[in-house]
Amino acid sequence: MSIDLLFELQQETRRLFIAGSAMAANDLRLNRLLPGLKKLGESAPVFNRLAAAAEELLTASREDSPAKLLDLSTLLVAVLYTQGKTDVDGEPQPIQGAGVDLATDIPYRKLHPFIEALTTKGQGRLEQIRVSYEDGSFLDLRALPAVCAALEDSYAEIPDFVQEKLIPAFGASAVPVLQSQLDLQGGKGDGRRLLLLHRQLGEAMIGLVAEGASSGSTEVKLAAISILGVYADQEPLLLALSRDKRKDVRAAAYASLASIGSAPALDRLFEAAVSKDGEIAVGPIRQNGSPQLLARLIRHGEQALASYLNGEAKERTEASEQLLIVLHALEGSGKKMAAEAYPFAQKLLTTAAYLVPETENAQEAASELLLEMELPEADQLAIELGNGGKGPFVRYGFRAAFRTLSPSEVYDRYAGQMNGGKSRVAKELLAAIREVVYHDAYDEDEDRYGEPAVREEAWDSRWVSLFIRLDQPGLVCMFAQRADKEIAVYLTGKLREAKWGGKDVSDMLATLFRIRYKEAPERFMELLDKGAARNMYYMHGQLRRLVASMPKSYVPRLRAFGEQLTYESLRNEWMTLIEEIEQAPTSTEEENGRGVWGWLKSKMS
Amino acid sequence: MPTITEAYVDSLAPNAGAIKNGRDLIKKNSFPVLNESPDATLLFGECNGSGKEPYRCSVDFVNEASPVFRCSCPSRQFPCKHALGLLYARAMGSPFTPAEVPQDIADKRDKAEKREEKKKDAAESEGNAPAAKRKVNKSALVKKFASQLEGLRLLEKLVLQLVQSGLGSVDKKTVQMIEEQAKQLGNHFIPGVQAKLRAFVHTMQTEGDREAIYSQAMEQLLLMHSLVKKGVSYLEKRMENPELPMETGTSLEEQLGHAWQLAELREYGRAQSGAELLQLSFLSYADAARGEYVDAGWWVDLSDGTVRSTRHLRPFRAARALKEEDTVRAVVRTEELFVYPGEVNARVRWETATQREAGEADYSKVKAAAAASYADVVKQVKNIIKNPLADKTPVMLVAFRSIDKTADGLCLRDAQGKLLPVTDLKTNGSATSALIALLDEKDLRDQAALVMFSHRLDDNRLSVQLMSIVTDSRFIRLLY
Repeated sequence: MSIDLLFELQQETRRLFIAGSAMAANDLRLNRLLPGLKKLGESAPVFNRLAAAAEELLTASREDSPAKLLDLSTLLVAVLYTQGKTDVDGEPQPIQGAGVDLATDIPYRKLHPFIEALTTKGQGRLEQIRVSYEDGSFLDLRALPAVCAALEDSYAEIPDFVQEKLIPAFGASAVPVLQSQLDLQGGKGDGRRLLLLHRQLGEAMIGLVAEGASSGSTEVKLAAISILGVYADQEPLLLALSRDKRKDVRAAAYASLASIGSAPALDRLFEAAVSKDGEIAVGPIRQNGSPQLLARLIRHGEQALASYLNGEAKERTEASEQLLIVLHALEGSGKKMAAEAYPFAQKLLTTAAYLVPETENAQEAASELLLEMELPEADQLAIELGNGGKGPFVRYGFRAAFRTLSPSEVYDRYAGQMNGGKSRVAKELLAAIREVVYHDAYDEDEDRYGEPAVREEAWDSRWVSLFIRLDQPGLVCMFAQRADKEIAVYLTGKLREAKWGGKDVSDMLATLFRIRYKEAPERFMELLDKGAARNMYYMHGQLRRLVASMPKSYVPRLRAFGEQLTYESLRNEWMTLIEEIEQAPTSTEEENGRGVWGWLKSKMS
Repeated sequence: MPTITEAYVDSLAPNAGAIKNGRDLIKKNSFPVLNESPDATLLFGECNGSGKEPYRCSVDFVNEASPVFRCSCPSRQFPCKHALGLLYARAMGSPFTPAEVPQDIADKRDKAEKREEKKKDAAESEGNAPAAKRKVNKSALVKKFASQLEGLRLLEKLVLQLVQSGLGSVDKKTVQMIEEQAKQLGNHFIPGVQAKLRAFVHTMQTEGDREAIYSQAMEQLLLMHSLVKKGVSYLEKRMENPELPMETGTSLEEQLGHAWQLAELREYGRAQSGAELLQLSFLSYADAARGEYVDAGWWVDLSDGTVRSTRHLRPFRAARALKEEDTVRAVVRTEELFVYPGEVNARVRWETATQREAGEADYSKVKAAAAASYADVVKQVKNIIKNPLADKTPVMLVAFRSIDKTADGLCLRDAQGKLLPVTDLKTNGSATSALIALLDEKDLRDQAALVMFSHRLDDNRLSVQLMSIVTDSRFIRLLY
């Protein structure tokens, strides 16, 4: 009761502080409290002092009023500070500790920036989080709630890192926090929490996962469904979910059904593939790769082809969509399914009525499938199809020919089709050649920069002259093997017109060095002196290799060039590189620069 | 040379950035030359920088307790990242080639030695004549008092004016006027008072919940009013009789803005010899009104269980060049502990200290010092905070029987079953109560906690924030 009165008085003085003590004279609401105060004053003198101070304020002049209000309030606040309540609602129960076994020993200067990075917004946070992860200073009890809460961060790379690195490092310790933060109706962060909890607890929490899958928010649902894929007994739930009205939920359910791979699951996937869900079912089917399912799809494809050939316009569109789905589902399984797939693909690609521009996508997919099979008859068919010069077939034909025919046969068959290099066939062929070269060359030397060089024995030596005639500098670079006059003249001619940074320029230089053309260093130097300093921006791998290929005698000129570079960091790198060339043992230089490169590489690693 | 560990190097670094930069130098392999003197007192090396010439840095352990860092780089940070990098290289086991001490460092060592000798000689000759008591220029002192009084009266006038017209009428123009006045207070030797007015300006400039701002502003006005009253009566007395000693019973001098010097504290008998302190909690925050970072530590004196505090202030402008304080896990031993005047959690300071590992015996001492009865502690706290000038958030060590869950949070329970509600103070940054449920059962029964009290005037509730928990075997830092 007495405290209530004090509290009321506090409200009134606070009001006057805001309104101004000038309003206090004869204030009605303050006045009303006076009798109560006086009455309480009979038992406790401090109320009398408050009553007196309040009265003084009520009767004070405008000028005196602020001092009186301050005096009253000072006294009142002092009294209130002795009256603070510490009672608690209800009957408190001892808290149950989760027993997380983590220390709290990380010092402020390490822990604080980490927690700041997790809980605030702004730049440089991921960097800080990485640093804390690397030096191990993130493993602290106090960081745990912030780490788990960062699964919600809007900068996606942070929750990714937290999910992949930080929380797994906390292990079981993170479980109670994740559990307390988990909200099945929440967002993406809660999906991540569910995945992490499952990773720790495994099957023990299948009930919660099933609940999330059937009644959670979409994000939680998707995460839960992806977990269910390893539990065969969850098949009924997944079958039900594969009929959800949301497309992404159905897609997730198909993926999980594919990893369960039971008969009903495959039935459902087939059903999805031939319905409007074809597109989202293709991925899971491909991943599952069940031969029975694929064979069934091939039979379905054959029917679709039949109805395409016999049907009306509307049925045709539907059937061609179905065919595309079947072909996509077979992608990657061509070799395995060759026995069933070859007759299907053959029929598809040899039925004239089907080979119309509208079905070009399917034709390409079928051709790709044909090459995948690695069957002699399939390759033969691909080459034959290409002969007609029709559509995209020439590309596949070339690839099959490269695989089955000798280099000179390939040249004889295709060189003639190039003409001036401008026709559609020629363009397709050039693209096919590039494709084959990349495919053939790339995995041989990991740190290759720029265009690869072809394997000499795999190609006819006449190609390079053809490319020179067709003016294809990129291909010339790939096919050049030694410093023939023709090649040297062509490339140096091209370089004379070029500027640093232009198309194919560094490739052409690298090629000159590769084929050991003796004027290569001079050509490179010329190009550098032609104003390259202004449009050279960073030291890429190929440039580094070019510089490292220079003989020592060029060091002074290279250094002089380096002085002109606009960008300081590039300049520093350039100078360091020059110094390294200077330091390189002389013997390596005899091998025309290549040795310096090798020596440099061994030094860097 | 002491064994150099990464933690040791971390503790030498002036701030977290320097730690990172120093470590990065190792990652980038920036030390082409690493040397060590044959007598193992000096580490030196070369570190690649952005310039042509590498920086030559060294760490000299001639005096093990205070290593000397030298570097040819122009950084104002001390020690710089190069010297730290050199030590990290050592801690991480990079090979150091033995080499003779370079001439320039040998010269510097000689010079330092000579300086030391001179100092010693001077100290000896002074030791013969007793140290003269510091002389005070009385007329100057009286002049200073007059100026301080003038400043306080200026503030009084301003406060009265504000109260008369009311907080509701404070607009941008008024705030600007107050800021002007605060600037003027700078000429009156009362920086503490000036800071309080600045804090008021800061409050009034805050955007957000008007009601909360008014409540805070009102408390600040009351504080200034009380400070003016107390300050005026104290200064008037001293002006009448300049021989009177300075006020050391309360923190009044500090609140007015006096920066206590160690010599003064010694003079007033506030130097305690031989003390052992254990840091119980640490926090660093920016005080926008004063324009400085505050590194605050709370410590327990292991001899009697008193809770002390340390405060290192780093003005924003000089923050980069000053050392950021950090959590201290070891027990700090000092020959001379200076205790500032103050009512509760008195501020302490020391010049030199050694450290030793904290152990279970220390934790038991801390637990034994914890207050057992909440009725007594609460009474004590209320008695402290009712004083208008007192620290409104005293920090206490309390024992608990258990930590309980209530309808809307947590509370502590003492042996008599008395309860103490727990709330997290926004100003402390982190919600420590969220960590409690993660602890082990045995850490939640019959242990001691360091808590910060606070009283909310708006709903008249007194509650505590948990800062640390001390058990017999473990020390759990909930804050930092």
